[in-house]
Amino acid sequence: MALKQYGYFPGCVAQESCKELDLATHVVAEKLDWELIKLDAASCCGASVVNDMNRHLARMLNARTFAEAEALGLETVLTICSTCTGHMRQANHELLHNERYMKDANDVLARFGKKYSGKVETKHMAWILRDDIGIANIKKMVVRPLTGMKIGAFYGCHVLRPEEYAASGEDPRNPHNMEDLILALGAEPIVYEGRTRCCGFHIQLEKEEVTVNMVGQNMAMARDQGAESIVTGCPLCHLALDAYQTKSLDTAFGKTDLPVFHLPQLIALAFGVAPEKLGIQKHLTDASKVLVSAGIA
Amino acid sequence: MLVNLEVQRFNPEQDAAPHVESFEVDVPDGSTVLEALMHIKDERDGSLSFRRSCRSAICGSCTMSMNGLDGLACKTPIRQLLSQFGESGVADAKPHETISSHAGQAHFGAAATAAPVAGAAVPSSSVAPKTTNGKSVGTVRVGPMHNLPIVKDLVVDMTRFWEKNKSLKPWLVPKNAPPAREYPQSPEEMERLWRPANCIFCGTCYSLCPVVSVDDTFVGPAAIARVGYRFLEDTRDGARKERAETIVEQNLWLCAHCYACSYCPKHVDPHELIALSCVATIEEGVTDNTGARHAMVVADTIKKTGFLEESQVIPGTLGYFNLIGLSSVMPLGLRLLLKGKMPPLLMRPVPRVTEIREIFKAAEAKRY
Amino acid sequence: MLQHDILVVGGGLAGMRAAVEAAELGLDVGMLSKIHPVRSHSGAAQGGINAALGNREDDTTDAHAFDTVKGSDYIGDQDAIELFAEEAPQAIIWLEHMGCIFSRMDDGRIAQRPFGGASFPRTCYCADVTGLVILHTLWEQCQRLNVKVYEEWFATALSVQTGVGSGVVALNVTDGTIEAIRAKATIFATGGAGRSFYKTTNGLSSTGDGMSMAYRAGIPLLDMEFVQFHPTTLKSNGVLMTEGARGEGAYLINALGERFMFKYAPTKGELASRDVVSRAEQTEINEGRGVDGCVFLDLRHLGKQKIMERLPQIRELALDATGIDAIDEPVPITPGMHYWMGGIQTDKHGATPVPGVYAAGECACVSVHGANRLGGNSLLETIVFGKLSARHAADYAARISAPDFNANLLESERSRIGAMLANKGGERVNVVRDEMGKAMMEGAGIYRLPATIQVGINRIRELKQRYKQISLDDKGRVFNTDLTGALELGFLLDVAETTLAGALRREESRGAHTRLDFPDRDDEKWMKHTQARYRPDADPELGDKQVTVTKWQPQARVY
Repeated sequence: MALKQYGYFPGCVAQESCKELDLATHVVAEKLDWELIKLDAASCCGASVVNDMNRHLARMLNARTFAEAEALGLETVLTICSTCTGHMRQANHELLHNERYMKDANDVLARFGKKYSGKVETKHMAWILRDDIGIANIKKMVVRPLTGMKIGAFYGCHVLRPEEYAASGEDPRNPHNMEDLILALGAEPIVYEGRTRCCGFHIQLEKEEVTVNMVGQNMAMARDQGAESIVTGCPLCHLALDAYQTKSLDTAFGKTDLPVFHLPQLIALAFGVAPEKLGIQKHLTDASKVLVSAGIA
Repeated sequence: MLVNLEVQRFNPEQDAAPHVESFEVDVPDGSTVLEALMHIKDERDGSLSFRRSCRSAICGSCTMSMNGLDGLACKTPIRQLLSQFGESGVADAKPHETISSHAGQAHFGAAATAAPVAGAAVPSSSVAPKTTNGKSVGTVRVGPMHNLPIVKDLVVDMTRFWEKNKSLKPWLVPKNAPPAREYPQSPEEMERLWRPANCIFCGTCYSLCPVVSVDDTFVGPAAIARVGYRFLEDTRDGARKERAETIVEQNLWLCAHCYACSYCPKHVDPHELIALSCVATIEEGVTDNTGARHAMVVADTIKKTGFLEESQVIPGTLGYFNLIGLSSVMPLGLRLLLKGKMPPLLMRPVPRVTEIREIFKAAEAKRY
Repeated sequence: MLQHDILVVGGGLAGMRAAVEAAELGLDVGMLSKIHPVRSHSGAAQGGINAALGNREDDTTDAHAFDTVKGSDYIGDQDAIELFAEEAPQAIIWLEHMGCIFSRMDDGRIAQRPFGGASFPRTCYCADVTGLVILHTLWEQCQRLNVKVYEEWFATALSVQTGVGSGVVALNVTDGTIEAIRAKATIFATGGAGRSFYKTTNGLSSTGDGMSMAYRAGIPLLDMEFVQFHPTTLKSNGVLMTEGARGEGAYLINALGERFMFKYAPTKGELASRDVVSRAEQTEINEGRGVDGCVFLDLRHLGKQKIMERLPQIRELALDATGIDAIDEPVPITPGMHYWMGGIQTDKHGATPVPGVYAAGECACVSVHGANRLGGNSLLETIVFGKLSARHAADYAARISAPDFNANLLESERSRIGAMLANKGGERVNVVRDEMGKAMMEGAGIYRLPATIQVGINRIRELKQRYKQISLDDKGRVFNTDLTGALELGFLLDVAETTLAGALRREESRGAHTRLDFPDRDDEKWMKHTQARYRPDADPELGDKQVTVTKWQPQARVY
C-alpha cells in the first residue's frame, strides 16, 4: 500500500509538448511512495479558453472530471499545472456556490450514469508537498543538495489568483511555498518581483511580441536579483519562459538565458536522479552550464 | 503608531528622475495609507502631491502603488500592508503574522497585487529599507500607479486611460425609441450590470495589467469591464454587434488571463467580465479573429479527443492558409522538433469521449 | 481668451446635467472641474433619488411637494418646491433613458424605497451606489456630446462687469497657468462646503468654492445657518451610512438595545426627517444612553441576502473603518455634518440676482430644502435644477452679446496667487483649517447656544487675519495642491463666517437649526430667509428675504 493516493490529472501539455514534466512527476511520486491514479477518461480543464466561449461547458467538463475521481473513491486530485489547478478550482467553486450550476452539470452527467456530489478538491503538487508531506520531510530526503544554485520561483498566475478560489493557503502577493521548497532542496531562493506575474503564454498566438516582452520583463527582474535559473509549477509558463527567452534579446529588457526547471525535475535532482532521466535536455534554454557548476552534471 | 513611509517623489520643475524620500510619521493606529500621506502633507511637507477626494473608496482618486501592490490608498490600512510584507515593506517570500489592531484589518478582500512595470520607477525591492531605530512598526513604500506617465510625485496623467474608455463608446445607444416611461428591465437583467456599475474608474486594474505595461494598444481591463461588457449586456442597448466589433478591434483578445485585475477594490472582477465579453463577441458572430478562432479550435479539439491538441491549435488559430503567420512560428516549431518536444500530431481520444460530446451538446444549448 | 456661451463651474451631478442640457440645445459649453468629473462627491451619494413615479404606491407630485415643504420646516419656497416635485418623474425617466442603472421591481419598472419624511416609497435607487450610477450616466452623456471639459482647472474668482456675470478666472492645476475663461452665462455647480467642519461626511473637495466666489462678487448667500447633520455616520472617519438602510428597515438602537426613535417620532420612528432623528440621537447620547459617543444602526434582522443586495457598499465601508460586519453586529454611528441647505441665492430657474450667473445643486439655495432637506431630494435637485438653470442660461445667452470680462480681475488674481506663493508669514494651511473646523463643530453643531456661536465668530475673524499670513511649502507651478488647498481654505472661511452669523441672528429653532435658548419655531418673527452679503474686510451684512408660500400654511411638524 502506497503512503498516499491521489487522483492524478497531468493536464494536456504535460502529455503533449512537456512530457518531461509528467515523467519527472512520476519519478518524484515513486520516491515519495505516492500512488498516482491517473484520471484516464478526464478531459482538458478548458483553461481560460473555454471560459471565453461557454462558461457552462467549462463547469460541466470539469464536473465530469470530478465525477471520475469520485467514482474511484478519490477526494484529492493532484495537478502539476497552475492553469489546470486554477480553472478546475474555479469550476468547482462555481459548482459549489450555485445550486443551479451543480444541477445543470449533474443533469448532463446523469445521461451517462455519472454524478458529482461536490467532494473533490483540486490541489497543485506544490501544495500537496507542503501540506501532506511537509517541507521539513522533503529536506530530509535530499541526497544531493542543490548547493550553490540561485533559483527564482515562477508561480504561475492561476495558483495565486483570483484569491477567492485559488486559495493557495498563503498570501498570494507575497507567497513563499516555492521558495521554501527551493531552500529545502539546498539551493538559494531568489526573490524578485516578477515571480507572481504573468508569463504571457495565453496570448502568444494573439501577439507573440507581447509574450516575448512579458517573458523578457519577468526574466530580467529575476536576472537582476541574481537568479541563475528558474523553477515553475506550470508547464505553460515553462513553455513561454523556456522558448521565448532567446527572443527576449530583442526587447528593452536585454538578454536572459535562465534555464527553466519544472518543479518535480528540481526535486528529483535533489533526490539524486540524473538530469537526463528527467528530460531536462529537452528544454530549449540550455541547463547544462547551471547543472555543471552545481556539480550535478 | 510610528510608521516609516518611503514615498517616491518627482517634481518635474526640479528633478531629472524620481527619487525616494523617507518620512517617519506618528499616525493613529488603524490609519490608512492615505491618512498617513495627508498627515505628511499637513504637517511635514505641503509640496507632497497626490490626488484624493472622498476618502471612502468611491471617487477613485487615490490609486497608487503601496509596497508594490496597487490599490486605493484610502482603502488600504497600513497594518494590512505590514501583515503582508513584514516590517521591511518588501516582498520577501516569508510568512508574516497578521499585525492587527482591530478586527477590521482581518478583512481586506481587495487591495492590489504585485505588478511593477517598466517606465514607472518604483522603489524596487533592491532598495534596502531604512532603519527606524526599531521604534516604527514598519515601512510602507508608496509610489504612483503604473502604466501611466508621472505628472508629479504620486500624480499620474490619466489621459490615455480615459481615451481607451472612450474608444469603446461609453454611452447607451438606445435599441428602441424611448417609451413614455422607463424602459422595462427585469431585476435579473439589471443584475448583469451590477458588477460593472460598481467600477469607479480608479485605474487599479489598468495599473496592474502586465499586458498594458508592454503594449499600449491593449484597451485594458477597466474599459472592457466598465464600458465594453456593461453596454454589451444592457438590454436597452441597440449596438451590440457594433460594440462587439469595436471591442475586438481594441484588442479584447490581448487579455493574458493573468487575473491580476482580480484585485479590484470594488469587486468588479474585470477578469470575469473580460471573459464574458469574449463570450458575447463570439455570440455576436465576431469570430474572424485570432482570439475567437483560438477559443473555437481549442473547444473543437476537446470535443474530438478530450484533449487540447497543441498541434491542431496553432494552425487552427492562425489559419491553415496563413502562411506568414505560420512561418513566424516555424522556427520555434523546428526547435521543439529537434529537442523532441513536438506535440503529437494526433491525440488518441480519451475513453468514453462520447460523454464529452454529450456535454458539449448540453452546454451549447444554454446561453451563458 | 478662452470663451464659451455657457461655462459650467463644477463637474458633479448638477454641473454635468447643466452641461449636457446646454450641449443638447446646441450651445458652446465648457465645463470646468477641479477634479475629474467622475471623482466628484456626487458619486458618494448612496441611498437614492426621489420622484413620485408611483411605481409601488399611488404617490403624487403634490404629496412629494408637501413632504418637502414639511421637511423644510416651512421655510422652503413653495413655488420652487412645486416645480421641483413636478419635474421629478421626468427627470428620473430621462436618466433611465440615458442608460442609468436602477434597481428594478419584478415587473421591470424602477424600484422605489421608503425614505425619511416621505409619505410614500418614493426613492429610486441603485442598491446603495445611486449617486455613482447617475454621475457615470451623465459623464457618458458628456462624452457622447463631446462637452469641452477643463479637467483639473480650479476656478478662483467670478468676473462681474457692470453688474453682469462674464466668466471666471481659473488656475490650470496641471501646469499652473492662470487664465480668464469668458462666458455669456456662468453656472456654479460646485457642491457643498462640508470641509468647514472638522468632521463631515463630505469629501475633501467639498470646500464651498462656488458659494464663496459668488458671494465675493456680490451675490447673496441664503440661509447659510441651516446645516444638515446626517443621523448615521461612522464616528472614526465621518463616512456616511445611507438613509436607505433605515428605508430598508434598519433600526436605531441605544446602549440599552432600545429602539428609541418612537419616543421622538411616534409615527415615523427611524424614518422621521433627518433633523429630528439626529437630534434624537444626540439627546440619547447626551443623556448617557450612548456608547463612546455613538448609538447603533442595526441591520441584523434584514438578513445577509438583503444587505448584500441592497446595501453592500455601506456594509463594506463599516467593515473597513470599524471592523464590524453589519450582517452580524450593530454598527456604532453618530450624527455627522452632511449637507448645506443654504447657498447661493437663486430663483426657481437657477438664476442669481446677478444677470448671467446661475447656480444649481448643493451650492445653490433655490430654496427647496428650507431648514431641512429630505433624503433623496439632493440628487433630485441636481438633476432638476441642473437642467433648468442650463435652459434659462441658454435663453439668456441667446439674448445678449458676449459681455466684457472684468478688466482687472485676471491680473489681480494672478498677483493674489503670486503673493500667496511668495508669502513667508509662517501660518500653515492645516492649522488654520483645523481651528476653523473645530470652531464650526462647537458653534454650528446640532445644538447651538449664542455664547458658543459668538466664540466661533470671533475665532473665524481671527483666522481670517491669520489666513493672510499663510505660507506654502510648495512654490512650484505644476500640480500645486498646497496652493489649491490654501485657496479652498479661503473659500471655507467665508462659508464659516456667514453660517455662524446666520446662526447667531436666527433666534428660533427650525429644521436643522436648533437654538437651546429659543427651542421653538417662531413663524411670526422668523419665517423668512437669511440673506448674507459680502463686505470686504468686514462682517457680512445680514438681511431678510421673504418666503414664498403657495398653498401650505405652516403647521406643527410631527413625524
